[in-house]
Amino acid sequence: MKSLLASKISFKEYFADILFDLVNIKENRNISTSVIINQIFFTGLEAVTIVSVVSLLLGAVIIQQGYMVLDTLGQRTLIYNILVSAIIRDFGPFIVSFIILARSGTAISTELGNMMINKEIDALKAFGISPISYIVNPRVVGVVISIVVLMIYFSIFGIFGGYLASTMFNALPFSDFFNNFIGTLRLIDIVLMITKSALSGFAIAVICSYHGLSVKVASTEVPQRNIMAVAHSVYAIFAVHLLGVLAHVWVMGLI
Amino acid sequence: MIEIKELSYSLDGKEIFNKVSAKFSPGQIITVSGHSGSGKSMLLSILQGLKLPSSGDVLLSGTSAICFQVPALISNLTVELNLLLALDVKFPTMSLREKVAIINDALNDYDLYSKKGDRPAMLSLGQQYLVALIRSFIFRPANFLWDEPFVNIDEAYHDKINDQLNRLIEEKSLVVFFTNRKEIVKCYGQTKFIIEDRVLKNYEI
Repeated sequence: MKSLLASKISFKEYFADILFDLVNIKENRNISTSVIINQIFFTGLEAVTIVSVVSLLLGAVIIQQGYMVLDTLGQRTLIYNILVSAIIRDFGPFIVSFIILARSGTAISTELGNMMINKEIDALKAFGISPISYIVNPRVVGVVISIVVLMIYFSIFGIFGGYLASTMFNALPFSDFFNNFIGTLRLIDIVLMITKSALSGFAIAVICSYHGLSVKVASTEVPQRNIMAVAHSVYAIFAVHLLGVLAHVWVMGLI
Repeated sequence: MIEIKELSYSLDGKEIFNKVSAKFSPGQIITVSGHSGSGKSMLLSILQGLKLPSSGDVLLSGTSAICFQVPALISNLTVELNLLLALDVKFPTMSLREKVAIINDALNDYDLYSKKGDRPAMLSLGQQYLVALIRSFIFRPANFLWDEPFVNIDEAYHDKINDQLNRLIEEKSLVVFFTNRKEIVKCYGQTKFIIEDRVLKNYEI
């Protein structure tokens, strides 16, 4: 016999459950690869268009504005540092995180909220299927994989956009532009890009799932929880990026 | 078997149950009746661990399946995948071919085979209830809890459902109906409970 005194959990317990379940992901037969694939398709593949447009424009604008300012100072070569900072290390992961929050975070929160109202989550629990294993963690894994891949994609398009804009000022061959850019790029920039993207994606998926699963009975709770999910995710994204900046300053101090 | 020990439950300061104790033994159909709003669905949720009692405990042996007042099928899965999900949990070592065969037989029994690739929203409400029932039956639960039994179910399928219920009883499963329809209590209830004055009372008609 098992005692059924269980159910209601705080965010701390919920977060601990997620981590425990992820650590034991290999032994978990409830984890759904189809949910992970669907999440990657929705979060990653379907966001490619907006990420391409934003990164292309961002890269172009940075180069265009940067050249105008740096040219008057005779510091044209600094444009590559700005490009690395804006596209790869700092601004890029920030923008991609917000795109993911706007598209996938709100979608996760809304979907889970509606599943709560239709008692779909209760049905899963009743059959002994953990919503953390079956619903939440596949989305967490899917969002983290998608955001990292999208960030790499964002970087490539951003650099390409930067090159297109730079040809207006200085008709460098792409290979020269690319070599100068690579020469400026350091390992810490790539590590921070991937780490910040992955942590932001993790935070967005966990927070939005939590708020979706916190809907109780009324459909009016769904948009209310959605707003809270977005607000809390924004705080989390800022916190992750602030830590990223501090980590960068610390590492640069060591070098 | 389900054992309720001194269970109390309050919602928004209002007491719904006050030190309820009862033992539901397997191999029979138990009815829990009471007027609308007496707390039948609440008790079902507590028994299934979906709601936390204010005090007391519920002990439950074996696996459980539940049919709510709404079909509660997973909306983004097809009928077949909804059923497969239940089988995956209960029979993890069973081959996919065997599981699909069980699902096909069950859907054929209820004339729903042609709907196996459809999502729940494409089915009528009655068909969705049937799929929810099939999901519970193929799960072969030790405890089967049904909120408002036979509501929204086409009478043409009542005999088949009765056969399935008899099969569960023969397998020494516990079946609990939560209903306010006297004819259901009279027809099915082998042990009858009623929720009155915030407690669960055993009674005979």
